[in-house]
Amino acid sequence: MRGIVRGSAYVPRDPETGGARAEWDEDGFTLAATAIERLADPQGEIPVPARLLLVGDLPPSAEANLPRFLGVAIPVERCGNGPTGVRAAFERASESPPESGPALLVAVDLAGDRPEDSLASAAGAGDAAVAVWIDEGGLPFSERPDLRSPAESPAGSTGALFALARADAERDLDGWRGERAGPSAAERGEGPSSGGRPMLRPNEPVSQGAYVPAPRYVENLPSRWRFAADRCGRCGALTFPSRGRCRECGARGGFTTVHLPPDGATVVASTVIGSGGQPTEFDDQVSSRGPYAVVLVELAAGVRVTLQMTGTASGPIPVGTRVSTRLRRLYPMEGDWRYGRKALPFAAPS
Amino acid sequence: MGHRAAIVGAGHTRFGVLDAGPRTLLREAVDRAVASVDHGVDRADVGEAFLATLGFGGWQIGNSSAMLAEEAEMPGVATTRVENACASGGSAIRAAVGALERGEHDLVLVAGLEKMTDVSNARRRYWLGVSGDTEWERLAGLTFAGVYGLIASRYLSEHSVSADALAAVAVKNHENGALNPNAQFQKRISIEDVRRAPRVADPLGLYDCCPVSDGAAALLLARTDRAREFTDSPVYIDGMGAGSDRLAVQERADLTRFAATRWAADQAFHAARAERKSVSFLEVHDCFTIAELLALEDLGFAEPGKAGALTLEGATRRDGRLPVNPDGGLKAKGHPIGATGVSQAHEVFLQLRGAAGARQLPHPDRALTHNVGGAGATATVTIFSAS
Repeated sequence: MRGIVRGSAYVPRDPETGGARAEWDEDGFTLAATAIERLADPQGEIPVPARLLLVGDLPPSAEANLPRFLGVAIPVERCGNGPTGVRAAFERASESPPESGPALLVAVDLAGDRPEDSLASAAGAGDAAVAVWIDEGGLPFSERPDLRSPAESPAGSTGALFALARADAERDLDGWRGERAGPSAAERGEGPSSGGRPMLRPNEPVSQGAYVPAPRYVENLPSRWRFAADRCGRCGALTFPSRGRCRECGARGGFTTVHLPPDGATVVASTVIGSGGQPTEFDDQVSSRGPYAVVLVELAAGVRVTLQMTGTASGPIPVGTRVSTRLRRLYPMEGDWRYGRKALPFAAPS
Repeated sequence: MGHRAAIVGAGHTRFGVLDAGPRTLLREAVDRAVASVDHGVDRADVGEAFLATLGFGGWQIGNSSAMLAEEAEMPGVATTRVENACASGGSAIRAAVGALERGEHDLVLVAGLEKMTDVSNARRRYWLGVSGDTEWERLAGLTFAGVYGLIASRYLSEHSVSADALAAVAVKNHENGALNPNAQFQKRISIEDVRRAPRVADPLGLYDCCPVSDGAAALLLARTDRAREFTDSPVYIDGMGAGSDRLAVQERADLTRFAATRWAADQAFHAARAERKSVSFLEVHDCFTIAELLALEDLGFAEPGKAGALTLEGATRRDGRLPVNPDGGLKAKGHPIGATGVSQAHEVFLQLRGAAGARQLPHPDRALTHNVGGAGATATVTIFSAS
């Protein structure tokens, strides 16, 4: 029978208030992506979903970006907001035929700056994302008494989904990975297009940005968003970013895609950009938030990537520091956000 | 000695924030190059003209070499724009020497130009970032200052060198620039000034970075067998080398050595059949102070990690045993992108002919120029001699 078999949550922490509040460079899409990443297996691989159902505060662009993030070409099923949306999505996903493959159901709340609550509390409030797999082996919708009494469901999309998932997880907690918690209890009146903090406006023209045209940006997304690298079948070398050619032996094919670990990379060089040293597309960020650090990190032996630091880190980052990485907003371009990974102080996955 | 080509004339505009537009700058540089030819030259004898420019500001990216033909008053001459970012000048000289060596022409013109200060600050910073890796490094928030900041952090950490080694480069190049009437900054600075300057890309501060500059420079190059028709004291090009590397620094195994420079230097010394110790002085690409230290090491004049000590002990000053950037370098003279490589050769032309005025070195007879595109993605090295 189809039901929730595994889940994960991501609740950002506001460094000042400790509240469950998205950082300035997070939005519904990056919260969702971060929650989904926590479903990866130890090799960093995320199973391919047959269906993708979304509930809550996701910007319209997430309907294109989440399948790209997962590396699948499937239509996204939007199922509204809050407990009603979660129940509708769960019902739809659990009605798939048994052989149809797993469905990924993601709920996001951008509720605003509310006090943090624990993962175990359904009455929490704030910004959060919860992702669950719905597949054979779970308790189906028709046998869920909790779904039949909506009055008992907590408000908010993530609160409702978390409550469902937890009810299931009490039978099987394996695989539930959360990074702190605080499912939201409120639905925000704001439309999904705002999709996060109004720190930067995506439609504001950034004159003369580093012009990476949309097709070039999209072409690179597997490497940019999930550190996809090509393992050469001939010589075994890793090529990152993927370019369809082995950088060691020149092979043009026979690659295996591997996802390099998003956590634990080591800083090999670092700088702090200030006093006008930034590209113009980061002008708004610098004027509102000040200088930022950029690090060159080693993801695997000989494989390096340049990342901006985010979070509370400020000042020079010493060579040798270890970092974690998360998907974040980079800057607005062509009416939408450009996203990429940024680094933050290393935190061992919980 | 196998000379490959001869410089018979060289011209240079002031570098800095100038009122003159690009056409005026080109005209001035070419006029001065023509006027510098001791026995005179007929512009109609120039067989081909090469323009080194990035096209900063976007005012005339396409077909800009036709403008050179106009302003040089060489109607109808074959023209080509050569673009290798900041190494455009060195690359254009290389193309010109090739044309002479192939016997296509007896006399060619090379001009380098950039007009950088007539655009808005935002547009300028856009153009300063177009020559690095845009898909990865720039999306992380880096322009060249940032990329060189990364490299500098790695260099200081890897070799346990103090940032004073960087500051010493700036102090020395400003000292030289103070004697160059064409330099953008003709003012000495102290090591304290460098330390106190605002940070642009830590560990690099404002005084670790070359300025944004307008300017042009031009050379008239002749086949060696015709050189003496134009002057009794030509400056010869004996060896040239060029190399390239991965565009993105993140894809290079070694952050603190530029392979492109090393290959270019090896080729140039091999071609010139010259030893490092025979070189009287260097003109190196010090777009940031760290770049001069890397250059000394990659060109083979210092062991890895030792260029800082060499600089701090004064060996690279005008009165040191290996003067580096006697004209002030990019740091003090200014760095109009396309003009820089040509300007370096102009300084060699003056120094080897004993015409460098207040900054003249005592009897130099062999010189090397080193021109780098971006953060080492392209590089040229050229070796010159006076006889």
